[in-house]
Amino acid sequence: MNPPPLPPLDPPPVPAIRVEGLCRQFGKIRAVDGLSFSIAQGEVAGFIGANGAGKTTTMRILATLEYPTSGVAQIMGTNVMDYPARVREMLGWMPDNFGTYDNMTVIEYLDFFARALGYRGKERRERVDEVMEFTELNKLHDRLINKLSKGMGQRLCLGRALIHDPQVLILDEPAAGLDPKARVELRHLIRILAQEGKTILISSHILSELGEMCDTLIFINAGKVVHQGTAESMKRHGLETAVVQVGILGDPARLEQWALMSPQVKYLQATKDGAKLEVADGSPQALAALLRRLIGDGIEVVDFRREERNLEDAFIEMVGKLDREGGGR
Amino acid sequence: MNETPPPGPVLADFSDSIGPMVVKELRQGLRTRSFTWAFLFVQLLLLIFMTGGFTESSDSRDTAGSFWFLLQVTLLVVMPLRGLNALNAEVRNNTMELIALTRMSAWRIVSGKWLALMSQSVLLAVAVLPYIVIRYFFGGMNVVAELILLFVVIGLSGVVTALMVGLSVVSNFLIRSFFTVPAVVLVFRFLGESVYRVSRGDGLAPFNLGLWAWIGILPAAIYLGYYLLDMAASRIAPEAVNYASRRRISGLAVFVVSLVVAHGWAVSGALWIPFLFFGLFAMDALSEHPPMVASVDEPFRRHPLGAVLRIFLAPGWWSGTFYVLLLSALTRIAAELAPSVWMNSGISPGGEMEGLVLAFTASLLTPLAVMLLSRPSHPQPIVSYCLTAIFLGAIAVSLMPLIERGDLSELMMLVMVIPPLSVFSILSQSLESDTLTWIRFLQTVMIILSMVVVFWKKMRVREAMAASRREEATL
Repeated sequence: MNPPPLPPLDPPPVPAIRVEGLCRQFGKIRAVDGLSFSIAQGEVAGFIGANGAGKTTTMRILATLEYPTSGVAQIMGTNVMDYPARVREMLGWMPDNFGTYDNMTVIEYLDFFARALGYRGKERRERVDEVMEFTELNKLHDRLINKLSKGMGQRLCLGRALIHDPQVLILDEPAAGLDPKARVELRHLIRILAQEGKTILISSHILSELGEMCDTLIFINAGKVVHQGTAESMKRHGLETAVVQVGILGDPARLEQWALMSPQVKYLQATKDGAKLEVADGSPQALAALLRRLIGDGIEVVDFRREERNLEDAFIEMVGKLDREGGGR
Repeated sequence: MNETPPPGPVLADFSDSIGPMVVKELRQGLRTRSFTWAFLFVQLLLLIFMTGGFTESSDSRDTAGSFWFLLQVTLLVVMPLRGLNALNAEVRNNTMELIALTRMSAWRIVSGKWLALMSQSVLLAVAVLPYIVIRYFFGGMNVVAELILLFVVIGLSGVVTALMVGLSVVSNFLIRSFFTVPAVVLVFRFLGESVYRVSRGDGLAPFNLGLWAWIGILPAAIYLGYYLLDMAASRIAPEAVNYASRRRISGLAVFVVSLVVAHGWAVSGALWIPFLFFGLFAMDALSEHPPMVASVDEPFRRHPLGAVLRIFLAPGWWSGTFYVLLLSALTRIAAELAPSVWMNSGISPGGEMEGLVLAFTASLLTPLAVMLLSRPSHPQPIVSYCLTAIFLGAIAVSLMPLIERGDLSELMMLVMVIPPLSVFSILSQSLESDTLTWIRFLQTVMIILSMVVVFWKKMRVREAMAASRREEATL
């Protein structure tokens, strides 16, 4: 008897954002140079790079506000160049500088965009109320928008981007110029949106925040992707060696002697109860073997920690390395 | 017990029947100082005129003159000028992009701006109706004539407002001023004439233009307003949205009708209307970026006559050149069919007429060639195009005194290569046939040279597009 046919496999979900070989030339300057990456649905991706790396241009192309010189940019499988109207329905865009109007209150601002997005009557009022509640702008509904603080302005801008409940959000430097409290509040809102399953592409210069919020980080330099992966992978990007901090019982000088006898280990500096060692192979297996050897050689290890670079350090090192190699502009 | 509804930010639903842009602009516009002060100022001054006007010693004609002067300055100058920043301010404040991301089409954005400004103008006009009633009670006025004048002023205000809103898409202040100043001067001429007539009690006299004139002027003014708004809309629309083709089709139809009407009207100056349209349509068509988006080409590929239609109607300066040549050919045909109209305008059939059409066409094509050679990737080609055209026009104007003195030396004959100079020369004096032949030759050369530049640039654009599509296909 033939086995029952297998149920057809579901096609792999379309990436929420797909960019392939994207180029954008402004006169003689190549702002984006063959950029390729993709972001799965429901993922939160951080977009990082030095000023002028091409982040905003890429985001503006994805938001249908700029045209690429060549290449493909898609939102939920739809080409942004050919079908901008369709893309705009799926997309919420928050620019780095929030444009204001004179003589307009918070509620009128949101109401205008709700109307412009096709909401009518009760539905429109409900959408505006929902957004005001989410962004906690209810109390400020009759405040003129050009009198809002930067933080409130960013909330309003996020609210506007959310009016039509888009599946994909592109946020360009939303935390720029915000005080710590406003940044925490904004991060909280973004976390809630991520939990709701929205795909978010967010650029920021505050890398530690991005590292906490994002599933993946895309680091671009001179219009090209240099690295894409988790925050952890970015911290270790380009690192073949690892630095470990070892604490022992007894005389710390023993560690120096032990390091001299070990070809793969370099003694860096002494610490209060041990030393910092550089290990040639930074893989987890090699580190486990190192610890085993230390214990096997009779050293009483009480502390064994891999020293992590923070994201800022990793970013600066990567940019510096690219500059030295001539990869930067 | 009746419960009072909880206080909350509830907005009325009546406004759902009005466009979002109109609602927004009215909310903002009615709060602006310029509107509030204009409204109060008009009311206050009218009150003063009325109070002073009905004393025993005063003349009701003076009151009428002051009344209409004030109203026309407000409706034809102050209110329309508020539109001059309408779109540019949105671009400058980074709000245009946010609006562009909504479902609102570029046309709804632009027309909404215009409609909101017009609504405020109409509100001002309606607010002065009681003063007309008061003047009627005191006698000495022709109610019908003045009401017609009020409608004409509101209509004219609509056209001037459309011009200002249309111009507001241009970032360059010089270009905006270049078109605004003549418009304001023309408005003041109309204003002065009608105030004078009304104060004399002539009422409708300035509009006693005859049937052909009305057939020509009224729809032409309405179409002009529509065209300017549509032109602005296409400048803020995404590349994938094609407004240009429909505008060119309607423009072609209007141009043919304007030629027919001008020939039917058969008075001196009747040809101004088709030439005005010719210049406007050409400036628009020649200052459009060629879209790099394949979907714009789709309707032309599907249509059986698409390949031919694309040559004249596809958006961008490339097809714009052929469109201009088509308008030029139509003008030439019309001139051949009814040379008398041209003679009425002081242009003799044959050499002068042919030279004028050629020089006018060259005047429109040359700025495009210069623009493509000097600043092909200007973000607003209309700025680059107009600046070149204004520059060439300024050179021509500065050389005109020499031409008018009859100084047609060899050097002067050479500078006739500047197309606007040839146009001005033909219009200002009767030239000898040798000079006309020389002008025709030079202007034909200018047209050919411009076309060569256009072809060369088109090839480069096509290569870039093909490379881009090849790259896309491999991805």
